[in-house]
Amino acid sequence: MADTSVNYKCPSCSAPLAYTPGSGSRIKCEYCEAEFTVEELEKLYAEQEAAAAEANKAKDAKIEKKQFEMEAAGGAWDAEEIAILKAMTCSSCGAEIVCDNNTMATECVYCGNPTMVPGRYEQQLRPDMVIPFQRNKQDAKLAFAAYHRGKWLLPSNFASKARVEAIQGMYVPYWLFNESVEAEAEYSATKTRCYTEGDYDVTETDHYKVHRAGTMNFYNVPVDGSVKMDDTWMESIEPFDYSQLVPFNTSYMAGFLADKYDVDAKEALPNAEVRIKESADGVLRYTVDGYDSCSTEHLSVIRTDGKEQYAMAPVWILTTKYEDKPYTFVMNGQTGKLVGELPVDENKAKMYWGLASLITLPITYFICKWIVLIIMEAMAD
Amino acid sequence: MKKIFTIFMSLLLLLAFSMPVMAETTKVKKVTNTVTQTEKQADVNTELPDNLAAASVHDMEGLITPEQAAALEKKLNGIEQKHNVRAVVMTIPKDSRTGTEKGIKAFADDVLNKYYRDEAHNNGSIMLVICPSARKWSVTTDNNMRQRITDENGFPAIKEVFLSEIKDHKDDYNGAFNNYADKVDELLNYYEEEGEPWDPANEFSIMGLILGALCSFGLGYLFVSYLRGKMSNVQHVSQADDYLDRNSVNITHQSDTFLHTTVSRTKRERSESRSSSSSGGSSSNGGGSGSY
Repeated sequence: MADTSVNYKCPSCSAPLAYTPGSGSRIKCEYCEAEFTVEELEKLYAEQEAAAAEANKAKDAKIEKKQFEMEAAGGAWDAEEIAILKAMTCSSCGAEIVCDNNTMATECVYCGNPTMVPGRYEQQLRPDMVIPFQRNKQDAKLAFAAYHRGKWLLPSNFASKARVEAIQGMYVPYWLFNESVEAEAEYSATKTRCYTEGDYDVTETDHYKVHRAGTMNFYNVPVDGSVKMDDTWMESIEPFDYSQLVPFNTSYMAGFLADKYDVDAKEALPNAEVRIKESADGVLRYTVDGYDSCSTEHLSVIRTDGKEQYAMAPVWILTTKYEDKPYTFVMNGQTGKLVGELPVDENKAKMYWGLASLITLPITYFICKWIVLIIMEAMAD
Repeated sequence: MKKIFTIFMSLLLLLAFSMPVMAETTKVKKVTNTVTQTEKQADVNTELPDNLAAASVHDMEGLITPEQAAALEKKLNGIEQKHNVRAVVMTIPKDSRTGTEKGIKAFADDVLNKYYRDEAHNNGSIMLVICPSARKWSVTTDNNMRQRITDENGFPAIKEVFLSEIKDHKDDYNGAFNNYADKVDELLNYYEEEGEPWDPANEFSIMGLILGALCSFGLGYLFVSYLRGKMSNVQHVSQADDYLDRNSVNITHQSDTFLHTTVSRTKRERSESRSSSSSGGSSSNGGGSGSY
């Protein structure tokens, strides 16, 4: 059941259009250099999507007929697979593109044409905001090269053998939580004095109950709304610069993958609240001054006002393969911060362990010998 | 009857008045005893023969047999000739002076300076003095010997070897004296070979090596853990500090309430070992003294 896809084509030369990172709200044709605003293209896209929907209806009828004729060949998709997979036709080359239910934007694997998936926004919220890509594919390659440079435990042939299999720009759905909170905390604090009294060492500890309360606002605490993207990885590429948040427009997605959210705001909220609670505790605890120790006895953070926004954030995903094992790296498409896990050469690890032990041995030997002498002297006395 | 009563009362009064006189008599006797002891102390000092320097072993308390004394004398003479020094062992009776650590050290210094410093043995002198009845000891050195057997390192080494034989009432004095002689010989040999006094810091320590290797192994592990940590920068973020509007923070309530005070007292540890010592000497003598 292939849908007819929609893509941005240059109204002047019909070449595929893609958003160039860092180009603001304008899209330029790479072939005829004609420039268009995102609003102009959005209007064009709305017309194309309506036409694609009509075409789909006609196609579905034909395909149903065909299924009866092809009963003998192949098996039938089960309900679960049908629920996940989605097929559509590339409007540029006519090839069939298969993607999952959450895909909002992708590219044709045959002609590389940037493709928007029609009907994907039904029964879903439209994103409020989007952070457009500021970094391009070349930036991602450079960031990756810089990241693995100077890593002592990296296998020597990683740089030459690890081939970047794919670099894909992707808009990840995020929930941005704005919260005003009232925080209240009770701390157990102590002040300690030590002195000598005759033959005794005396330690005097004053115990205090410290109470603090206050209000504070948090703006745009991000929680990723995609099950596919690991929360820890998405937290690692934070923070985003929200000064570049702009109202959502599908034109920014041209040329990139995009997922719609599959974790709704209600499910995402607890993650944000845990982080807000931790920070609120830090703010209150900062005001507890002049004590030698302080521990939290009780903390409550109440949300007095809150609003969430649905936003799309830019991410570059780099996939490399080294010795048949895939390694994935993620780069913040706005700030260029790259995160990932590099392979460890265990032989190098052992070598550095031994080397570090040998280098420090003369120093530790003399320190230990000195300590042993002191202990022996004390024992002799 | 009245006459008898008068005589009885007179006797009673006479007895009462005579009590202080008797007490005074007893005190005089005690003072006399003390004087006798003082005289004995003076005797100890004055009893030292003029030709004391002729021998290196003076066992006034008879702690070792004559044969052991002769063998020790021979050993010490050998050391003296070999290193051109004086090495002396002396045991003395207890008196008010030698019964204290400070006193026995002063006594040892006096004897060394008076009898055992001569031009013929210009590499220095060392003397071990033991007062067994007071269980006090002293080792004294002159300035030349201090350069070879230092107060910081040589003296503790000598102290350790002879005390190990006599402390805790082991009382093997012959073993202690021979250990002392052997250690003096060893330290002087070291000085002559190395050109500097013995210092345990320069000695190889197998225990230091084992502990050092373990520490280095641990440091190596920490270093590699640090390098491993650099291979990944994926980390969970537990707070939202980046998204806090600092200007919006308003502390609405703060109170600090004193609850109570707890006091803990710990008795300071003191060295209660039966064997104590102090080292360091005057400008002319080194060594130290102690109890065992």
